[in-house]
Amino acid sequence: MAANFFRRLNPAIVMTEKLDAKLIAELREILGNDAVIADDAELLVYECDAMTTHKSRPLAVVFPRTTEHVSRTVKLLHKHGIPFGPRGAGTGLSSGAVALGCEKGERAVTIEMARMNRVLEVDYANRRAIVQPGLINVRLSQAVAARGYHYAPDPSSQTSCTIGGNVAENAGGPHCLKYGATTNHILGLEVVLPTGEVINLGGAGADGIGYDLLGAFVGSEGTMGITTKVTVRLTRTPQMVITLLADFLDLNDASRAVSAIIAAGLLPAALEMIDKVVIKAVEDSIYAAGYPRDAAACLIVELDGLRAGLETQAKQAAEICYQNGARSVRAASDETERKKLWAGRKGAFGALGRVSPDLFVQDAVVPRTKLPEVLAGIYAVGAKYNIRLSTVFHAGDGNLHPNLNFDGRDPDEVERVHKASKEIMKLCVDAGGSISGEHGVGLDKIDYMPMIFDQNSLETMLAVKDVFNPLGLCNPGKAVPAQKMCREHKKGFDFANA
Amino acid sequence: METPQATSPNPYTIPLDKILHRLREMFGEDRAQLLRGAEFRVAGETERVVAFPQQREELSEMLELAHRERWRVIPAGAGTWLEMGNKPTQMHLVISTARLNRVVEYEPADLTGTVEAGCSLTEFNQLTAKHRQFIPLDPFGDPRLTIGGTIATASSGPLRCAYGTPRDWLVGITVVHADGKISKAGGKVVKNVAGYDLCKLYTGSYGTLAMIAEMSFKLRALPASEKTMVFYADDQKNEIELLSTLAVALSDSDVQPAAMEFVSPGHNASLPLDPHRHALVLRFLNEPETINAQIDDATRIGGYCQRSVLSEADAARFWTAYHESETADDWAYSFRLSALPAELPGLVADLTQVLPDTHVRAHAGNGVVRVLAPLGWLDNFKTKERARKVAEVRRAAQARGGQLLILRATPELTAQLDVWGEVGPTANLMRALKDKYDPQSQLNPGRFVAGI
Ligand SMILES: Cc1cc2nc3c(=O)[nH]c(=O)nc-3n(C[C@H](O)[C@H](O)[C@H](O)COP(=O)(O)OP(=O)(O)OC[C@H]3O[C@@H](n4cnc5c(N)ncnc54)[C@H](O)[C@@H]3O)c2cc1C
Ligand SMILES: Cc1cc2nc3c(=O)[nH]c(=O)nc-3n(C[C@H](O)[C@H](O)[C@H](O)COP(=O)(O)OP(=O)(O)OC[C@H]3O[C@@H](n4cnc5c(N)ncnc54)[C@H](O)[C@@H]3O)c2cc1C
Repeated sequence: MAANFFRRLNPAIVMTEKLDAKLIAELREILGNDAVIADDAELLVYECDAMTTHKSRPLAVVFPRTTEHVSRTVKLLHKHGIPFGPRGAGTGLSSGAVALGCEKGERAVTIEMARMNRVLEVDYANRRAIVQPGLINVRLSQAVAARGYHYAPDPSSQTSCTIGGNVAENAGGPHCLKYGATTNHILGLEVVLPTGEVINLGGAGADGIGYDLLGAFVGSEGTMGITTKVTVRLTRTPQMVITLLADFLDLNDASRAVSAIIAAGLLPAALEMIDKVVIKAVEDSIYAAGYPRDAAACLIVELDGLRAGLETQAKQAAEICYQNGARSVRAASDETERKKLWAGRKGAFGALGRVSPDLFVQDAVVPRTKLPEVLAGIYAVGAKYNIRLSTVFHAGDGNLHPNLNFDGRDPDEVERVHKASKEIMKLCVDAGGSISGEHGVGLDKIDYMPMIFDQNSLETMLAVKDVFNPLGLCNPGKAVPAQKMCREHKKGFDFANA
Repeated sequence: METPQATSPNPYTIPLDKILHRLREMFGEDRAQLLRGAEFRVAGETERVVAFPQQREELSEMLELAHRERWRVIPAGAGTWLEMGNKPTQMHLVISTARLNRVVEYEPADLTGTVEAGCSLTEFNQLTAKHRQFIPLDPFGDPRLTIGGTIATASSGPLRCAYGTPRDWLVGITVVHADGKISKAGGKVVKNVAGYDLCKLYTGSYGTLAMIAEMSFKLRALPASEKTMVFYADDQKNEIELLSTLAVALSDSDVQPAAMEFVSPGHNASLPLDPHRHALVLRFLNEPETINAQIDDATRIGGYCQRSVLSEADAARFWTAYHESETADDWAYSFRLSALPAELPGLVADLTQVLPDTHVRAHAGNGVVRVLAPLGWLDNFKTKERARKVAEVRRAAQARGGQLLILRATPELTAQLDVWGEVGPTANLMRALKDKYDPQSQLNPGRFVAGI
């Protein structure tokens, strides 16, 4: 109903194809001349995020600097029934920031949060910081490092993604195994609701009263409103870190080592796996980390915490790797080597990106004990569709990232990627897993939602969305598939017509 | 809206035997009981019908029946804390998950488990302990308390200092809505961002949105060993100030206790502590060498206080007695205040001034303070004045960015004060949410915040 309902009340409003000059002028008045882009050529860079397979050019992009800018912009668009969506750094991998409208082919205004990028307050006594949503993730950790703290969620994209984008996706990262994902580190949010109203969720004291609206908002992918301020928990930086690199000649051995480490009761800060295709791509790139080129898989096992007792844990982890067939296990000898090991891991997508014109990064989760069989199944799917497939992932969480290299100009290959991708999703779901561990559903996976949620569950989610976003104007077509026609966008990505 | 009823001993608008009969007819003799006395007592009523579904589908059918008949339902687990909340505006029946209590799935190697709502937390943790694992939650209360009740009330205990609260451990949930519809959110894996995180909404919703039928959790490995350390302030005049400041300093250090409790003297004869002094009690759960290093660190930071490490037997005795005494029947009053952690010294100072003769305990690393008092507390004051004093402390907590909940109090007091306090501008969103889930207000009507 949403937009249609609204339009029935306002018959003058039709599907938005272009913003009229008067509205653009009004936006400029609210935000300033340099903060509104409406020129088609300039809009080009905003037509997709890091998943380049879905595109929709925004009607305009606006760059607010204050909460009031966001609120007034949203009020104006709301009044005119024009769809809009927030955007952070555009590093998303589920096309969440793509400017879709309410109806097929309709476009939307993008609200780009990058200029709201300040650290507003650091409160060490309460181990928290208040930041603007456009702040780049790693900047926060840098800002508090000297005082012995950091911001724990560390997506591999942390040097470019924003905290607001992390909140929207409930982003994870290598160290989420021990420290939890974004949702475990958000204490409060200031949000501009899709009507333009400004509201605080969660907040100051330890326990809020009433429903945990904050918890529901985190991970809502920009469909419940726009975050304008974030209160985060700061985490004590560990006294000591030990990073191990274990290499295996059989990938299954590596998976079994992962399960065995978890089952032994060890809680590594990170437990990451890289397969041989990724090893080669990384070693051939600027991220070369010294991973053994002839290995079938490598594990990065990082242990951190208090100095006392840490070496014992590291020894135990290394022994488990050996017991499960590791060829060698070595510890990074110093901080430089440790950084290098991580640069290879965090640069893996970048390195893979150079191997072919396009890269499709998948994201799924399976129970850790199912890793060996699911991985085998995934490689079989790659072989079946003759696609260059590799995996690099957060193994400790069972959070897989199968990567599919392809050439978007080859319609046949694109079709095969599409099919393979869907089959991989099914494999993971059948193993008791989920269709996304951290990249979100966005637009890309919206068709897969019925694989894990029945009609009642989807309707319940939409009911919650309605509470926040009753007209459906805020980031339409994302996260949860709409049940009603007018909200529906082109379902999923039409690879054949890419 | 119908008029509030539940204040009288018989709050029912429909004869109980009729409800009982319908339930027994549809689900069998053993599925519904008429209970008198304290068992499953909600708000001072003398008797009540309690239904005990044994399957999720049966729970769904019972709620569907209630929906059709417009019976107001009080969801329950073991019924150990049904007194919590404002008085229901109406009630016709309690539905308890006590017999919906199976362990659905437990895979030690995955460190995950799925249980039905009525599963007892204690029993589940005994099961997982065989594999040296646990759900690291230690809510206060009767050991029969259910996992569903723990989630519904977002209950946690001292361990939250290191392990967080239920919202950090719940990864998936199945609920039955007021009309019997069944829905899910989350999943069984430890990391999952597909769909909205409605697990968070149900956690702490006190049975006002839907009834919880099943939950999946991530687990943690049981620590290898433990030690408990106690600090006392040398200067008896400034005990509160010294110990709460020490707690703030420890929180900003590498000392990482699993629990850090501030305990005031008096009324706690069962605790192996000096009965005349305030204490700060630290519990460490870890490898022995890691614990020893932390005790050294804590000793250095708290050098200006007296300290001792409890014997194993005393430590065990302390934590058991501490848990049991927290919800003992002798406490007619129990309040929970919450504020920013560093506000602890001020918060405790405020409340000891306004509410004397209470027993004060705090999760000192989290800014959560509990105030306990026996019947007869402030007896020389009139009820109205007592209420005024509690309201004054509530305002003080709010001024520090926190709030005050009434966990238990005499009916006279709760008649004067809202149990929850003001939620502020989000009240509209909360009411809209309730309206989406339960438009006829059938589940725990009037018990929650903002009139929900
Ligand atoms: C190389 C690479 C590695 C990556 N590694 C990881 C990883 O390890 N873990 C992980 O979780 N992700 C990873 N990602 C994905 C991505 O970086 C994250 O999803 C990140 O959180 C997106 O942040 P962003 O600022 O780029 O948001 P965008 O891509 O701009 O937007 C993402 C979503 O957030 C919404 N949004 C943005 N800002 C706001 C706001 N202020 N208020 C409300 N909604 C908002 C958008 O509408 C959109 O739905 C990786 C991506 C790349 C390219
Ligand atoms: C005096 C007292 C003080 C307490 N203080 C604290 C404290 O300081 N901190 C703390 O964390 N805990 C505290 N507790 C809470 C304690 O942990 C609870 O007793 C326990 O969580 C409830 O378990 P139960 O199965 O008996 O639930 P019940 O007592 O049966 O129900 C408790 C609440 O949860 C709802 N509920 C129960 N099961 C479901 C379900 N399946 N679906 C939906 N709603 C449901 C009920 O409607 C009710 O509102 C206290 C308890 C008592 C008695």
